[in-house]
Order: sequence, then structure tokens, then C-alpha cells
Amino acid sequence: MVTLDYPAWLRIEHWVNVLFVTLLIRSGIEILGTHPKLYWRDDSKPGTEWARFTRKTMPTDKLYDTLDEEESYSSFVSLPGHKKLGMGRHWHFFTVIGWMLTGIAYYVLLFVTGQWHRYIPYSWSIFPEAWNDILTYLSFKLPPLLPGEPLDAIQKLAYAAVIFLLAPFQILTGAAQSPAIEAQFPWFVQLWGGRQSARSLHFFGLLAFIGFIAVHLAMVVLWGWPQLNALMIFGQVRHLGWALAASLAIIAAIVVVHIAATVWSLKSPRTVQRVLGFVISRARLMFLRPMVSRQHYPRSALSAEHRVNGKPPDSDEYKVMAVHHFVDWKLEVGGLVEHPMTFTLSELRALGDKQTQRVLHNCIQGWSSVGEWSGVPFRHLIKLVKPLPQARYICFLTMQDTGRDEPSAEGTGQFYEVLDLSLAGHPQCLLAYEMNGAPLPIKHGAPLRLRIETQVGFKMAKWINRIEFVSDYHAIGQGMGGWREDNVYFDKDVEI
Amino acid sequence: MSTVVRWTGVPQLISFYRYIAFNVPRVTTAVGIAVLLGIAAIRLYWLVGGFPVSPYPAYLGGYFGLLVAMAILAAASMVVGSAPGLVRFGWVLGSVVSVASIAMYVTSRTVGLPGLPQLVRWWDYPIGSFAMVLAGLFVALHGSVITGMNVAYPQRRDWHD
Repeated sequence: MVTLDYPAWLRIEHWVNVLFVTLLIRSGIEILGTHPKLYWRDDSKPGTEWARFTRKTMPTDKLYDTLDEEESYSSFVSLPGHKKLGMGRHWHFFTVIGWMLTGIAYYVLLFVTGQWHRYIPYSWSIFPEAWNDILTYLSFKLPPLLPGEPLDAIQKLAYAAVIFLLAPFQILTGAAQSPAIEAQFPWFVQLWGGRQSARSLHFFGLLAFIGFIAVHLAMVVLWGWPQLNALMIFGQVRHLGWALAASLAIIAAIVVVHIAATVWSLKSPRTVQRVLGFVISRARLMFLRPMVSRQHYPRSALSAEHRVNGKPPDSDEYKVMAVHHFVDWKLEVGGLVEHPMTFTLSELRALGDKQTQRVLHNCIQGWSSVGEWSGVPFRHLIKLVKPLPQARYICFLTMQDTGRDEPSAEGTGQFYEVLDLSLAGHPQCLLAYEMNGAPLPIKHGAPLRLRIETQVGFKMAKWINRIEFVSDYHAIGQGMGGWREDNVYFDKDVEI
Repeated sequence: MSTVVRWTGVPQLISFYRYIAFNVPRVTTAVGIAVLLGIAAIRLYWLVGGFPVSPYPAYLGGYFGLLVAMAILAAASMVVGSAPGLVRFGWVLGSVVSVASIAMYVTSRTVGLPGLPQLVRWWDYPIGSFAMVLAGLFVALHGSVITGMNVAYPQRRDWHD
């Protein structure tokens, strides 16, 4: 029988885990704040949320978009706070990579060293023992430890539940919110009851972690803070004074990391975007980029209402075109192509092979809906214009001037987004001119918008009037791969 | 002065609950009823012979009976959706029952109750602690309804956005 002591790897992993879990909680709250409403149904229909974490109410007499619904939380509860979704996402995904690697190493070491005995029960008798422990705690007494083990029965069950159930649950419900995973494996998101159900369950997981941490800390205090911290720092109950000091120093160090991450994100978001984004992008491209959309939702799943993100162009030119059903609108396709072309809307429609897809739309903020989109498969356009060998990206330029159309936005200038050319060949990459069987509504991007179902919504540029094939995007805008990447520090590759 | 108070962040901390709102009225009411029935069940158990002191003074039996009856009345009132006033009465009565049960329990363990000196300082009694947890839960749940964090059946949120 292995001695269930406190080897160095277990102690190190414990404190690293404290750092990662607290970073995940704060950055998760930042992400939640960007659409502070929780639903069970994938249509995210306004008013159907079962919980909201905002004091804002939206107007009923004018168009608002989901950017108006964002809530600004204090840095005390969210990382970095103050409505910085881009930063929150970077920290959440960067930390989850570290947390998963830590978790994998922890699992391996638990089973290789035999320390799994400390968590995994192997006798049904543990359940009556755990019940007795609960009664003992309710008697304001401490129950006996299991023979030869460092925990009592209820603690052993609780740790097993957190390590082997709750942590994987959070990872799986988080993954179920990835548009790439949803697109490739629609059954996986249905397994959780849908996209919004997965988001709500992810929130319950957050509450469970917070509850566990609160009880865990209470237990450490009850059983003896210096003694247990000596075990978790020195591996033995010794030097209690030093253990107390060291535990406080470690906690202070974790707080310092949180403060540094917050200040860095608020003062220099571009460097955070570049540094953390470098790591996250590689993981995304490795694991999620190969996924291809295979969605075919039934007509009955279509959402009656589709939320709006971004306001339409507020120019006379656009309004005149809209009044005339966009007969004067033209799409220019150029850049690094053999055959630059210009299309009117009727010419686009006349290209033939209209493709229709009923798919789940994922906004980066967290809401979703199911829509039917029809239009030209992008691969057809590629065949017509023939990109040159040096073309690697596609830049979608739109008629939206954010400074004019989106006064509350953090930035100005023409809205654009850059897509990797490799994504354009996906079977469900579409230039959509219809939605739910009708011409594309103005608020959803008329006359033309992009659909690329493995990405979150902001990549699907609306009100498109020019498409450029380019070899590099660093000279466009601020060089980050899109207006939102430039101005609100989102990631360029957004499979999750 | 108000600036200083604002700077401390205390007002924001106190008003934090205003950022939290749930729209699960049936769940709220179901949990409230379950908790009240739990409170009643424990007193019923004590009334029919489960109380650790036997015999106990007659007034205690009367108290247990009254508490059971009031808890059941409160729980029943909470589901009469056609009479919102009665529902509110049910919640208030539930809180009265809960607070009374906490007060009685704490009094019995501190200053003592007539004829029950053996209960003083007898905190290591799991079912008693559990009864206190239930009572605290109901008061907290009712507090969440009063502050607007929760709504109880038959109310619903009028959220349009």
C-alpha cells in the first residue's frame, strides 16, 4: 500500500491549481458580463433568460444591439474588469490550457505513484461513513480520518467529485460552447441540451467551484490552518510558524499575479493580446482548426428572433441602395486574384447552385440562435476569381463605419475582417444574401454577409461591399486581422 | 462624507445583489416549500417521540405542534396562485416559523428553557443543527424574494429584453 503523503509534485500542483482556478473564475465572470444573461434554449430569445446579472434594461422602441447589453464589472470580481471581453477571453483560454496540462500531469502522477487511493473510493462502506461524517460535522465536531489516509470519508468523496467529475464537466461544457466543435459534432452540444444549456451548466460548474473553495477553506481553518498548510508546503507537519507565514506568502503571491494580470490587461491590452494570443492561437489551430461544419438543423429548430450585433451603415448611400432593394449595390472582388470581378446582387444570385444551411450561430458574447442562410458557397467564388499562389488571407470590407454607426464602440473606422484562405473552402463557408427564406434583413447584413460556421459571429462580416485576397494582413488597419481584433483585442482565429 | 463612503466601495458591495436576478419562480417556491416541510418534519419527529429528552414539558409539545401546523399552513399558502396576498402571507409566515425555530433552539442552548436545563450548551446534536440550516435557508430564500433577486410563484419577470 502506498503511503498517502504529500509528495512535492502534489504540493506544487495544488498551489498552481489555486492560481489557475482563481484566474479562470475571474476571467469567466468577465466573459459572462459581456452577455450577462443565461438561457436554456438556443434561440436566446430576449426575456426568456432564467438569470441575469445586470441592471440594464433595453429599449423597446428602437434598435439596440447586444453590445449595448454588455455589463461593466469591477476588477475585484472579473479579470480584467470594465467590459474587456477580449482580455477576459485571452486570460480564460490561456489559463485553461495551463489548467488542463496541470490536470493531465496530476492524473498521470496520481495513477503512476498510487496516490489515487487518496481520492478514489473502492468500498461501498465509504458512503455510510461519509454520512456519519456529515452528522459529526453537524455536531460541530471533527470526524475521524479514514485509516491510513489523509482525509475523512466525506472529504475523500468531495475531492473525488471535484477532481474527476467537476473539472472534466467544466472542460466539456466549455468545449460545447466552441462553434468549431458544435459545427463538427452537433450531437455533442445536443448532449448537454444545446448551446445555451451548456453555457448555463458551465455557470453551475462555476458556482460549484466557488462553493467547493469556500467549504475547503472552512475545513482547512477547522482542521488547523498551520498544520494543513505545513503538509501542503513542507510535506510534513513541522515548522508551523513558518508554514503559516509561507501559506500567507503564497496567497499574497497569487494575489500579486492577479493584480499584475489586471493592470497589464488594462494598461497594455495589445501586448496581452499578442503574448497570450500567440499561445492560444497555436492550440486553436492545432486542435480546432481541422474541424469542419456539418450542421443541418431541422426547420423546426429555427429561432423566431435573431439578436443583432453591430448597427447597420447610417449613410445616405446605403439608405438609397436599401430603398431600391440593393439593385445599385456592387461587390468588388480583387487583390491577389487572376480575375478580379464585380458582381451585382442579381449576378450573385445568377451564379447558380444556391446553397442553404440551417446552422447554430454563436456570438462571441455567449448568445446563440439557429438561422437558415442561403447564398453563394465561397468555394464557387474562389473558382471564378482564381486566387494567386501568394494569396493566404481574405479581407472582407464592409459599408459599416463604426465611428458613425456605432457611437458607443471602442474605436472608429471601416469595419473589416480577415479570414484565412484555408477556411474559405469549407463546405458551409457562404456569402449569404438570404436569411430564413427571405432577402437578408438590413440589421443582419443586407445585402451580403459572410457565414463561416466554425467561427464565432463577429468574423462573419455584414454589409460587405468588397473582398480582397491578400498575402498578409499586418498592414490593414492596426494589423491584428480585423476591426474587432484591432480595437477590442479579440483573437483573429476564433474557433472557440 | 458621502464621497468618502463611496470611495470605500461599501455602497457598491451592499448593492451588489441588484446585479443578480433569477426568473425561476416555481423552483423558488418548490425549494421554499421543501425547506418548510423539512422544518415541519423534524418537529413532527420530535413530537412523536424522537426528541432526545423524554419526557419533555408539555409546553414544548405545544410549541412543536404549533410550529408544524404553521409551517404546513405557510407551505400550503405559497401555492395558492390565485391569491397573491395569501402567497405573500405564506412566505412571511414561513419566515416567522423559521426565525422562531432558530430563536427557540438558540435559547434552549444558551439561557435554557424551563424544565430543560440539560439542553444548555448541547450543540452537538446533528438534527438540531440541520434544522437550523433549514431555517436559515428559508430566511435567506425569502430575503432573496424580498430584495428582488428571486421571484416566487405565481409572479414572473416582465423581461422584454
